[in-house]
Amino acid sequence: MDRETEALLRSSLRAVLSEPGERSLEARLAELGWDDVVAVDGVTARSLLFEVKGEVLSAADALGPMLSGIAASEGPAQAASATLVLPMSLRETPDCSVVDGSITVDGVALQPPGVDSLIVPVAGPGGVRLAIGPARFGSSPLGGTDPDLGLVRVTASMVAAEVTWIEAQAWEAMVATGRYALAIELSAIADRVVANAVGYTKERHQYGRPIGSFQALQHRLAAAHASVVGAGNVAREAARSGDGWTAMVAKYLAGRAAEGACTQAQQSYGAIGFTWEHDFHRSLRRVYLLDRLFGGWRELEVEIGETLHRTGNVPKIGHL
Amino acid sequence: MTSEAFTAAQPGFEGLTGYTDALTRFLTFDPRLDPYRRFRPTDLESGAAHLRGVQQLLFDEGWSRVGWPERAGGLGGDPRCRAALFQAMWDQDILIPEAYTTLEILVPVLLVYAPHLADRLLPTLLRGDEAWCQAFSEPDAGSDMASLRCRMEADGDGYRLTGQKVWSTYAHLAQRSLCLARSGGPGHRGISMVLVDLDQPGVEVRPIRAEDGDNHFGEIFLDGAYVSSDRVIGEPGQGWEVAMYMLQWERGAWGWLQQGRFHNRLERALELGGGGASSAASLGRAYALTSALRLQTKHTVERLAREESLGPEVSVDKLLLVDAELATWDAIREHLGARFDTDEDLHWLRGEFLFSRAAPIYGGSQEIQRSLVAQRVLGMPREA
Repeated sequence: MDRETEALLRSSLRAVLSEPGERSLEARLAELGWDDVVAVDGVTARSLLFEVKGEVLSAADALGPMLSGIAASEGPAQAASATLVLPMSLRETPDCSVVDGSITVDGVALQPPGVDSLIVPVAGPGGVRLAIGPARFGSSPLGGTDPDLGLVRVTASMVAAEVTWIEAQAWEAMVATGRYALAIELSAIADRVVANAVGYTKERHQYGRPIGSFQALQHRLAAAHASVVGAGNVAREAARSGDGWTAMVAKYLAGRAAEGACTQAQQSYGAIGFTWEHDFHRSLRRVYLLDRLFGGWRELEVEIGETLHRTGNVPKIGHL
Repeated sequence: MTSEAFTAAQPGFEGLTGYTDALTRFLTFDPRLDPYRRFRPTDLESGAAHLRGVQQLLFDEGWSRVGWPERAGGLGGDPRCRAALFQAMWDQDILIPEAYTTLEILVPVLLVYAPHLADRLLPTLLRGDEAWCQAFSEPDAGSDMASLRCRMEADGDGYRLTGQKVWSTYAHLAQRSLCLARSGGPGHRGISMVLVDLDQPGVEVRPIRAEDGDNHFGEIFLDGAYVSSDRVIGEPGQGWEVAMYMLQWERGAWGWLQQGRFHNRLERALELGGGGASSAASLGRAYALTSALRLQTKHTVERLAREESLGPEVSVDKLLLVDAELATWDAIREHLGARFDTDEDLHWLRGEFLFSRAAPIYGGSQEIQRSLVAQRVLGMPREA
């Protein structure tokens, strides 16, 4: 995708993701001719989608349909319209298994289930398998840390003999994709958080000068900016390579940088940033929640270290 | 040197891969490199002397000439080839001679602002036949570089330098020094950059022993030292601009070189065993921050290769370097436990650890970089 096309797509995505109303993101993207755009340059298109989503702090669910699409490409076509149910831990490790021929599900969906078909990661002796198929389920809104996001708690029962099973690599691909997409979104939110805080420090005066002229605040926000730039590079590399290890490192860096950016921004705002009226808390809540998905940064930090320790290998990400 | 590597070194992605593959084969299999793989110097001076051997070998076989222009004795190809050489050397655990770092910082400047010097002197530097150092800091001009006082006064067809320089890396092993001096009035505009011979009357160099026990840097006392007018880099009074141009190379190339070191040293530490659950988080953090540094400096090296001019955003490279360098060595120390402090065979590793403590200080302190990013990248107001 050349720069001009990319800029055009970016502005179209801004409009799509800022659109008020109930229309689903899928419907809005379809109107944009999303499938054609993805066919031309999927990496750039998906990266831009999550970047702009973070930039405008959109709560629309771009992730669920994308992950269902991966399940559909590895398994039955019906998976494309099925709803993915993540474990209650929001991590990549399933918390349900087949017991007496049935699967009892109590997890989280990123949007209200549409059709009566679910995708559920299930633990088994050979690793994680995906169960795709009909389910009797109940669902209720899940407020939690970020009520804007519209998460849904799903309790369901599936009969093991009635579902289609897909093997572990599909789930691995979904986790890798989820992680890079979230890493890009978190980096973009963090970038917005730093930029808004910088803007505030230029406006707000104390002791007769803008508080942004104080070195203490300059250094907080500069440090946050550097971490965000570093995380963004790795996130884009993860999107480009599709590699699971890179995606894990990217998700770790982005979660850490985003939390750090929020900490520095909160301090820069002082009391006003602590009010309900100020919209800072919306970014803060989003960062905390998205960081949890597919593993929070503190967990990933340990997991990366343990993997290095176990393999004795220190792989290099990205090449000249 | 085979003709294969020379043609492979021409710009373009396929060419770079070809160069890197051929280089890796050479560094991995050629027995002449045996004395350099996993070489652990006992002290800085004997280490530098030993590594001159690898400089000669890589020059004579052509490998280190790739990535430098042909008119200056190079074999053509862009700066990514030099970055690839650093990576390939670290992959074989071959220490990068300090001279390469100096070259990476000083020579691009000469190619632009004093091509007559670059063309004549690059081969002798690359081969290690002589060494240069950088002399910018003064006892009263550290972060506040524009306040430097070393005087530069006209004398016949040249100049005389009088003053004191400090924190000059490897000064006591250098024959020449790229020096910033005051040729005019106060502030940025009165500064010039010159290449001064250190082996002449009126120059005294004293090494300074650093906290790891090695003489990493030195003081240079100038008392009427002579510099001919063809040794001015750029025009008289242009020194600040030249120094700023230099910094973009310092950030990109040095950061890239260091990420190669961090990857290698993390692997060495894992190989030594020990650790376990308690150091997993530190290792994970160190590795991820090193990966962030790698991709950022890769991007910068690629921009330099495209001859883009870089702005204050390269300070981000230095900030990411500081985070990665401190995290890496903290993780290594934690991973090895008491062995890090007691194993006589790990003297070299402790030395590198202690050197890493200077990361937030050397080459423009962390505070200076943060102020630059805040004011010139984020657009925050100048301090009152």
